[in-house]
Amino acid sequence: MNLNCCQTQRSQSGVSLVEVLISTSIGLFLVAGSLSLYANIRRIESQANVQLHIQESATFALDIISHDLRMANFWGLHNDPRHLVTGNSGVIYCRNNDVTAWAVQLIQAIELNGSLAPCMNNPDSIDGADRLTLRHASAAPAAPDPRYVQIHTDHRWGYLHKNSAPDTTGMHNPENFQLLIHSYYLSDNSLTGLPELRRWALGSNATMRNEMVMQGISEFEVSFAYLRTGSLVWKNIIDGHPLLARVTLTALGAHGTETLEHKASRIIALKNLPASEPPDAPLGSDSNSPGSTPPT
Amino acid sequence: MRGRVSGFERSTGIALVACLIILTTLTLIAINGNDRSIVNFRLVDNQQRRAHSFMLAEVGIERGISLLNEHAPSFDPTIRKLERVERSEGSYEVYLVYKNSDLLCTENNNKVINEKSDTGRTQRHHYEIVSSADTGRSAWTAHARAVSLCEYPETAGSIKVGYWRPLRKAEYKILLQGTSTKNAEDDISK
Repeated sequence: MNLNCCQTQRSQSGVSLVEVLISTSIGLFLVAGSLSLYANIRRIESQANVQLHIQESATFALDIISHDLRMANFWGLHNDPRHLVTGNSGVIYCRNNDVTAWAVQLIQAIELNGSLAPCMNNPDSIDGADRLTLRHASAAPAAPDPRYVQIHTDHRWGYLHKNSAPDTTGMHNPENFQLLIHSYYLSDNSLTGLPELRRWALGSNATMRNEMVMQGISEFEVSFAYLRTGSLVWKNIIDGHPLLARVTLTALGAHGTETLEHKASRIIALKNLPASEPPDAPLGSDSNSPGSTPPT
Repeated sequence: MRGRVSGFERSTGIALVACLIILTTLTLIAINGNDRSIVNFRLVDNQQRRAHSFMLAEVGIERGISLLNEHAPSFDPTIRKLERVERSEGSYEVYLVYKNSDLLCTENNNKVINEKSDTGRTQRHHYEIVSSADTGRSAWTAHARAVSLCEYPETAGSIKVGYWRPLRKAEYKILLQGTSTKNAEDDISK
């Protein structure tokens, strides 16, 4: 009885060689498929992460330039640079060169590719990429600080100074702001091997400092929209008073051996530039504006 | 009979453990994938909210300019709440902040200036239209636009629009402190 029982059990629990081979093959096929799927998902995911990262880099760089473009031509309590006296700014240096004449060209709140300043002729700058210089005051008032070039202004006129106690004579409710000058360009001299967006920025001791804005930016192009005979015309030059600016960047990222890129573009309304050419009213031409020097 | 039962029990255990392992792994993968899509969704959502918030603050500024063109404000140093609007994508608030006044209005013709000078009502008054927008999840934006106008009854509606600047939250709070806040209805239509 016992023998019969065990023989029956042995024959029931066993599987034939063919069954084993088939089930193993199916199992291996399924496992290989799953592994391949998993590897593909990981590869796509890691590629998507790099793509996301370079998109964020482009967005970040565009945010910084957009803020500067919107603020260009903001001079504290007004947006007319002709009512600012620039004589007291002191000497502004860049690479030990005196670049004051270039730096205080406040009438050119936006300057595209036109710079002759020694610090802008960078040996590492990428040919073909645009160079954009933006000038404006800080968005919020700043405490007087002799280390920085600042703007002391009321609603009608003001002057540049490097003085902890600016002269307020003849001014009505003046406020003090920081002068900001940012010159953006593309550089191919980076440790990572990827090109980067850099800028010269006016810093302390009236010196232009070189700053890295974002790594992995390979293209930088700026154009401006003008209202001509009722329609918008886009140009790659500053020609009168533009209404809009379009900034285009290409951000790069390395994924294994391949390089991914993302082209991002943004249109920015130039909020502090007049929509039309201003009437010709140079400094000191009307009875209420000051002369070419601060009143004493 | 007993052997068959014990063999059956043993294989049931293995299947259960194997199933549990596979289910747990699949659940973890699903949760992980879900988390990642939620994070990505939130990133996009936050970006969209910030863009909406910027646009709404700009709408507030334009609305403030439009209101000032319709009704000249009084010329006393106060802060006036012009409008608060709730929309499906968020809300915005517009204030008119009196800054100061300065000398004569130069863009009017000399005759008017001289006539009004005698009455002492020839000052140019400077304001900032401050607009803040909130679209939720910390997507808050505030902008200020300068406006000024001369103190003549006949110049009501001819405001001069000046600079634009973004405001940080701290500065926004300081700007709206100091003087009492009035509602627009109290003064702007007078």
